[in-house]
Amino acid sequence: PAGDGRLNTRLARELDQRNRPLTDDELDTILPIEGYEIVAPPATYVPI
Amino acid sequence: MAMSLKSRVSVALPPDVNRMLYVRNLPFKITPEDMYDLFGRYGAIRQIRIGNEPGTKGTAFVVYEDIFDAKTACDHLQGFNLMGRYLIVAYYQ
Repeated sequence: PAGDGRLNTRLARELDQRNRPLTDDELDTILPIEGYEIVAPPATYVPI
Repeated sequence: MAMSLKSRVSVALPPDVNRMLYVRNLPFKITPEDMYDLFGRYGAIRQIRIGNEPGTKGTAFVVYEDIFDAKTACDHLQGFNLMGRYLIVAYYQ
């Protein structure tokens, strides 16, 4: 049904919004900086 | 990723689900390698912050690149026994 298509489009748009890349600065505005250390990934880390 | 792209799109996620997990009850001597190893199994990690002060030790923030990976990690690691401690995992609001 056409409605399903529109629903998927809206959900896809919402998903894209919730999955948009976050910059380091954005993360610093969202997450606490005080008392926390940003740790670098180990050399062996391979994102799956 | 077990879910195919099509089923991902039609599945509406609850509003509180997001990519940033706040983890508590971590062992104090946890290392970045341990964190990336444990949380990295569920998807690509954007950033990890580990508490390094008396008030924040034993807690961490784990940010995933993809919201579905964060949900899978949260669902699986809630109550996970790590070095004798049960992890508390929640979406950071």
